[in-house]
Amino acid sequence: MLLVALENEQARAPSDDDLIRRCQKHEAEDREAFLTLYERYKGRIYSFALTLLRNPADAEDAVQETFRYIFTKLNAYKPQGKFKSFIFKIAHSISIDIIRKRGRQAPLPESFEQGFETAEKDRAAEVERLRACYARLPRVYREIMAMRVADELAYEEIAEVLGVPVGTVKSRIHHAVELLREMLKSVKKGAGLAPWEAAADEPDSGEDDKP
Amino acid sequence: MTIKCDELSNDLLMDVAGRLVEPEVLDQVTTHLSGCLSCGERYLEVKQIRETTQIALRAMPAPALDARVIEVTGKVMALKRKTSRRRIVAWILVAAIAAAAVLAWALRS
Repeated sequence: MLLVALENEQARAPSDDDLIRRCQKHEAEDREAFLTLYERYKGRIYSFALTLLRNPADAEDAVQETFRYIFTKLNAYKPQGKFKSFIFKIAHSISIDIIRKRGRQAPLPESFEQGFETAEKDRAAEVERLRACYARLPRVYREIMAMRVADELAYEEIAEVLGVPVGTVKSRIHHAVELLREMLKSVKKGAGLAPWEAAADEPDSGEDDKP
Repeated sequence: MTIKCDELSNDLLMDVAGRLVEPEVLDQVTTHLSGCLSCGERYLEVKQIRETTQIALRAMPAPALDARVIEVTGKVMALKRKTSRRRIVAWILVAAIAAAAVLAWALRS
């Protein structure tokens, strides 16, 4: 019964493009439609930006800038069912801009706890271990894991966001997982994460960041 | 068709863990995993990374951000209205000047 009610509610919920059309039709004065979009995406964009920037204040700035940009450029967007990759692409560009302005990555955190939700007690240790690994994972791998695993974007959508071929997306995921496996093994052996600290703290090259 | 160890990339294993592959690929991979100890171990590690990542990278911004976004978009909206009003006034002025020019020309001839 509850499942049917939930399914009905999902079916009734307007699509992203419907909301965008409403905003465009009313010359961006349909606040309700825009706020619905904001509520739908704020958590996902914040998590994504936080994964890239490793700093809650910067991540909030990235979310604010992303939505300001979208609101300003509403009429330029053509609703084609690609709003998810469109918003992630903007959030990605803005986050990269913040990293560039900052000059260096934020000082390497001990773990990735700040700003992220507290995990349930039975998985807390496991989550904390993985967050410590993510904190040391190079940015290109963090962003790809956030999009594919945490947000479940399709390979094609990620390729569009990053402006790279689908094959590159797959190979980056492969390498990211390989690195995480090595890190987790090292932690379990009690060897720590020291070998990966230098790589994670390097400033971003920006080589493949062109929007 | 059988699948080989070197064809089982981490991205494919992660998709299998999330059941994001075609049923026939799932069957092939599952058959391989049940008979290959090292790939089976790697699969379990990848599956755990996937599941833990979904929890580890979850975050919500502070409620104060809502007010910031509403304020910023409000300012953009006000700016849009102002620009739109200016454009209307400019068009009215152009139309008035054109009408005056036509009137002046008509009176002279």
